Amino acid sequence: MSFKAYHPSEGYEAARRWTVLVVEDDVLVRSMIAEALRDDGHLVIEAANAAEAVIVFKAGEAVDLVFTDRQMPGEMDGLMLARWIHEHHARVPVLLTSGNGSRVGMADFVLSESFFPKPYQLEEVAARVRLLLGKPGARGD
Amino acid sequence: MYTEPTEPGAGAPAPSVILVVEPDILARMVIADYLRECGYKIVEGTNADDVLTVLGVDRKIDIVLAAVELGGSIDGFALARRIRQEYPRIDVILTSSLAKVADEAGDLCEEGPAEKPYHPQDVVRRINQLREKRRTAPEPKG
Repeated sequence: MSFKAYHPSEGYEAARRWTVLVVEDDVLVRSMIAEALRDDGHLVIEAANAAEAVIVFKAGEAVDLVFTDRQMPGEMDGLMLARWIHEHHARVPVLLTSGNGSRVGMADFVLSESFFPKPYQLEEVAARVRLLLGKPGARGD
Repeated sequence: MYTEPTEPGAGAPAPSVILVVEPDILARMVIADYLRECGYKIVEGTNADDVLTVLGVDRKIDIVLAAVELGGSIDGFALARRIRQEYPRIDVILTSSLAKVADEAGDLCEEGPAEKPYHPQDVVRRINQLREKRRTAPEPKG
């Protein structure tokens, strides 16, 4: 089933709320990003690391987009998480952020519009999420 | 007569802020969402370090709802003692089981600004459903 989703900023009533999974080990950063996205009308799931993000997917939660830090403690970093999502949930776009602004080491599945160097403004994050969720091929289209 | 709901900042009190501290992502997600639907603002943490970090930047927190077993060197009891000493205005609620956290969440919801979205027992049911789905999720190939 396909349907068209509208964003409130376009003046139309939203057909559904998107679910964004925010993956970030810094509790203050994670909380700020999550609140900014909730204020923008999204449902947000917060994960403190890649392992938690994988658990969310395995529990069958519907995720429309993932926003993840690249550098995170644990066996899996953000890039490995992005690869896992690309392999197992290919329709879910991933926004990857990094304090190292270089794209060196990025894989070809990380699209140029999906990489987000730090520091960033919260409004930039919200705008990029809207951009990616509006793309054809995003979950639900 | 229908009355338009007031916008935030139009004289309505700001919702209380609850810091939910739970190392299990599935439990934390369900509890946090339930309390948000009850009208609270929620900050989510996974361990005692998260709590001390949030409180250390003077983020407004009214209630800390924490699991007793937090992992790491500081358990819920030690965390509660420290909060009561250093931040006496903050209410601390410790929970030792899913049933207990559902009870406490239900009580908080009764006092919250919004209608209870569903029975707190459904919090436990939902968490258990998610845990079961995760347990039975097929292993990824390769």
